Amino acid sequence: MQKHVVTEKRYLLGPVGVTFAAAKTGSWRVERPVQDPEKCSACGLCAKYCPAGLLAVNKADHHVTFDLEYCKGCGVCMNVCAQHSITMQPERDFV
Amino acid sequence: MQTEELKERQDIASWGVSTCQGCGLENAFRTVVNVLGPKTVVVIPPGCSATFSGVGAETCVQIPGYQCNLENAAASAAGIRAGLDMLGKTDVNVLAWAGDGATIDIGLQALSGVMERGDRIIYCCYDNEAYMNTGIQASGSTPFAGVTTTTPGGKPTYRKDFMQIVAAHRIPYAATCSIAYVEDMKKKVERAMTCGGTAFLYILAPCPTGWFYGSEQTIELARLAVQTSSWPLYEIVNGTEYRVTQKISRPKPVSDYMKPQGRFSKMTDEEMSIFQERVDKDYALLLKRAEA
Amino acid sequence: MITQRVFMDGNAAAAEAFRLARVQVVAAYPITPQSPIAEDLAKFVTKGTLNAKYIRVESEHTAMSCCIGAALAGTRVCTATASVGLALMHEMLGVASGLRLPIVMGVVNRALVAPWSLWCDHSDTMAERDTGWLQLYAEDPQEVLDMTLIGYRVAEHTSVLLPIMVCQDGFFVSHTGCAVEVPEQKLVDEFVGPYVAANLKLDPDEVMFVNPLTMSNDYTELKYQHNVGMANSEPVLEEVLEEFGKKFGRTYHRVEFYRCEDAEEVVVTMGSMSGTAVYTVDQLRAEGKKVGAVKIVSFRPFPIRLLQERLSHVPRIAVLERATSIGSAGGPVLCEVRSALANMPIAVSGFVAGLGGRDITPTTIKKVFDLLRTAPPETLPTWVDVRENAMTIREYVLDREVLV
Repeated sequence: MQKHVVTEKRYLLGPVGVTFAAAKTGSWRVERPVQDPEKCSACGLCAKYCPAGLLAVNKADHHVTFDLEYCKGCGVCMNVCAQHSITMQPERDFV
Repeated sequence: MQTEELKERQDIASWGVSTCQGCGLENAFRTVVNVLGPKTVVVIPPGCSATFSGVGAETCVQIPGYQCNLENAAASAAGIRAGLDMLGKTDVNVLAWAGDGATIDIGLQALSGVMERGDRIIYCCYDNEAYMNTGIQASGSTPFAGVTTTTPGGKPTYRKDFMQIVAAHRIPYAATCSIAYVEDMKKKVERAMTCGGTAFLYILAPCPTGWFYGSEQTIELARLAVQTSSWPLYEIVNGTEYRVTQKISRPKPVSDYMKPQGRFSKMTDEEMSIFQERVDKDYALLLKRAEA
Repeated sequence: MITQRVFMDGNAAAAEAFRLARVQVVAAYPITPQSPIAEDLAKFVTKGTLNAKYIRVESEHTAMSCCIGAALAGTRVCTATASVGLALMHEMLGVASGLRLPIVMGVVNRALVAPWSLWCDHSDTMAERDTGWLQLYAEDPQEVLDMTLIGYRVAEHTSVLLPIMVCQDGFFVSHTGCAVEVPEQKLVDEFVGPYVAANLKLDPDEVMFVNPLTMSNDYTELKYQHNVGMANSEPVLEEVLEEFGKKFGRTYHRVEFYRCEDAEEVVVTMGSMSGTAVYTVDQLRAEGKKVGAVKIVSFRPFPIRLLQERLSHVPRIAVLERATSIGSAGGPVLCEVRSALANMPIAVSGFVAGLGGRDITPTTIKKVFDLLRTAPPETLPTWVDVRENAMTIREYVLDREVLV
C-alpha cells in the first residue's frame, strides 16, 4: 500500500477563501535593509522581531537573508540590531 | 524568491499581508499562531487583523478561519468550541483574535458571557489603542491625552483597566504581553492553551500609523512600554493570583515612552506628571497584589 | 409504528422536536413567550435525554453567533426566540443565511416594540423576511413539532443549505396545549439522519477561510447562489412534506386550501388564525355563502405558482394579516399575494387585525368577508379591528397653577 495524493474538486457555496496567497508587499518599499555580516553577532533578534517574519540568520557565516518579495522596508530589523549591522538604504539605488 | 531557510519554517500566516510597515499586531499574530500550531481555528472580527483573513478567494492563513462580526468574536469562538467538542475534536485550539475596539467596547458583552461561562477558548486582544482600521478613532482603550480623529484635542479620560474587568470574571488564566518580549509571550500562549478554561491574552501592539512614530521603532516602543511600567507584564490566575513576569526594578520615566509618539504631542508637562503619578500608583498596586 | 400522544403546548413541542432531531449544540436566551423552550432544552441536556452542549448565552445576538460557530464546526444546532430577541439577532441572520448554514430556529411570534407587548403578532418575523431565511408558519403544537423536523431535512439538503424559522403564534400556540402525536425516535432518526457538514466548515483537515471580505466583482454571484438555494427549497420542501406524510401519517402542503374550489371570496391567513378561518368558513357555508380559506404554511419561499394555480378562478381575495408595513402600499403578506396574482382579474384586499395579541375571532373574519364582498377594493389595508376612538385613548389631565 502506498500513499497517494488524490485531488478532489468541488464547488463551495458562499463567501470563502480557498487559496493561500500573499500580496506582493515588497512593492511597498521605499528603502530596503542591507546587512553587513562582519558587524553581525548572529544574535537573531532581527529575525525574531521582523513583523513579517521573513528574515533568516545564518549562524555559520553571519549572513542575514531578507525575502525582498515581501519586505516592506519598515526598518524594525535595523532598529533592534545592537551591532548596527543593518542599514536602510533607498530602494531606488537598487532598481 | 524564497530562500531554503525561509521555506523550511512553514509559518502558518503568509508573509505578504497588507498590515502597515512596522505593524505591531503582525508580529504578535505570527508568534501566537505558530505556538498554537496547525490544529487551530481562528476567529477574526473586522479590523486590522482582517488583513489576515484575506479578500475574495484568497486568504493569508493556512488554518481554518472565520471572519465574524465586530462584537461577537468571543461568542463565535464559543460556538465553534462547542461544535468541535461535540465532534470529539477537543485538541483543536479555538483562537479569537480581536482588536481593542472589538474587545473592550462593542465586544465586551460577548467576552464577558464567555468568561462567566468558562467557554474553553483563547481570546487574544491585540491593543493598538484605537479603532485603527477605520482610520484612528478613539476606543475605550485609548490612553489619556491620546490624539485620535474623534479626540482631536487629546482624550480627556483614562482608558478602561481591562485586565481588572477580566480578573473580575475569575478565569483560570489572563496575561499581558508585549511583542518586545517574545519568549515571555510564547510561554503565556502555552499556558493559555493548557489552562482548561477561558484564557485571555492582552497584547500591546504599537501602531506607527495611529501613534505617529517612525515604523522602525515598533519594537523599541513595545519595550519602553514595559520598561516604563506603562504596560507591565504579568499574569492573573483565577482572578486573584498575580504574578509579575518581567520585573522592572527602576521604571524609566513614562515620557521616554510617550514623547516619541506624535499622538501625545498635545500633552502638557502637567498632564504628563499627573499621568506619571497614575502609572506609578497602578504599578505599586500591581506589585502589592503580586506579593499577596 | 408506536405513536405516543402527549398533551403539550407549542413550546414543549418545539423543544421535543429539537430533542428528537438530536441537535448537538443549543444556544438560546430566554424571552417571553419562548422561555420554556430554553428551559426544556436545558432540562433535557442535564437529564441526559439530549446529548448536546448547552451554551447559556447572554443575549440573542450571541445565541445566533454561537449557532453559526457551531454549525461551521460541523454540528446540528438550534435556537429559539421571539419579538425583540429576533430583532437583536438581525445582524447575524444575514450571516447565517449568507454562509448557507442549516440552522433551525423556533420563533414564537410576538409583537415588536414600541409599544411594549408580550403578545402575538407577526411583526417580528415579518421584519426579517428579507434576511434570506426560509419561514414556515405552524398553526398548532402538532405542526410546530412536525415542521421543525421537516425543517432540518430541508435546511440540510445539499441543494438548499439555508436556515429556517419555524414560527408559532405566541401564547395562542406556544401556551395552548393539545394532544400531539410524538413520533418514535427511531423513525425520526431515519427521517432526519445525522448532520454532515458538506459546504463551508472549520476543520483543520479541510482548511478554508469562511466569510472574508468580498469585492464587488464577486458579491453579486454569491447572492445569486443564495437566491438559487432558496428557489431550490420549493421543490425540496414539496418532496420532504410528501415523505413526511408517508412516514408519519400527517401530510402537509406549502399552502392549504379549504373549500376554495368554487369560492367567490377567499381569505388568506397565516398561523393560528387559520383554524378560526376554517371554522368561520364552515359557518358561512352553512348560510349558503361561497367562501374559502387559505393557510400559507411556507411564507419563504413564497408559494407564487401555487397561489396562481389554485386561486385564479376566485374573484375576490382578502389577505388577513397580523402585521403592518407602515408607509408601504400594503402589509407584508398582502404585497406578496398581490404580486403573485398581479396578472389575474382578482380583486385582492388587505386587512390588518390581531396586532399586539388582539384575538382574531369568527366575528373578525366575518367582518373581513363582509367588507370583501361589499366595500370597493382599496390599495391600502383596512384596519379591521381598530377601535373608533383610536386617536383619543390616552387622555392626560394636568392641573397647572396660573396667575390671574
